Amino acid sequence: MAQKRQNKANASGETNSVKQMAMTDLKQDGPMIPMQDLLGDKLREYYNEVAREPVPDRFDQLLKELDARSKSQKSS
Amino acid sequence: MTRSDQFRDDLIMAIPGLRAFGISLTSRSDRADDLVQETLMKAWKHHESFEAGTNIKAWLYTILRNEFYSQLRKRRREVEDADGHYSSRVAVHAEQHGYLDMADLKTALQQLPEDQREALILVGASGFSYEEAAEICKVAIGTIKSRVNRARNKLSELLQIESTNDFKADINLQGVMGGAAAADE
Repeated sequence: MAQKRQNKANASGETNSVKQMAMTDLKQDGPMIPMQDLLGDKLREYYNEVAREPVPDRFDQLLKELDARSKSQKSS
Repeated sequence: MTRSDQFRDDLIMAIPGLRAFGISLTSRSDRADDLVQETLMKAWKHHESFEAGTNIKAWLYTILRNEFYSQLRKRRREVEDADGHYSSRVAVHAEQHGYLDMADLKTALQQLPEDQREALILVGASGFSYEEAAEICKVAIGTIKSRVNRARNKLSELLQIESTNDFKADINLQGVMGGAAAADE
């Protein structure tokens, strides 16, 4: 069954284009994406949507504080 | 660069992925950010127990996951009706137009059991191997594979798209993810 699907993908030449699309950007929602990987693409888009947001300031601040605290502990 | 500078840089690099993982677990960005904050503080505190050169990303995801489950146990009573709350119908027929709505995916993800959802996200979106995901969730590799399988099937059913359920496709996915992660850095 897997073999059959693989053949189908190769025959339509879609395997490579899917990889290329996924490597560049995941924004496409158009009909280019074969049904086979619709779910996988969407999952990564969902994940990357958040992962591409800038890191909130609170974490920068937190790490600076932790860093300062451990440095002052070392020197004292 | 001192060891602790390196460690701090590693933490900073991991934050975007940790936030995404946190949101997939909690479906709320405020709770996800609280989880990330706890994770960073715990990681810092237990810095010494981390072996340099080993997989820091997997280590951090493990801490976040542990924190999530420990908070979940505390909250369990309050959220017991959450399943009913989220079970709104997904109406889109993605197969008909090759389009899958993000809101529908989010709704469908919330209907998965936690163990299946986390396995799917770790392997299908975070770019971890089955082995790493098994280590993070403290279960056997076969268990992770079966959870990912069931999650995919359930999502496909909820979203009314063709179920792929094909490990060959997942192996390709991981290759793609490796490339994508490297490109992000």
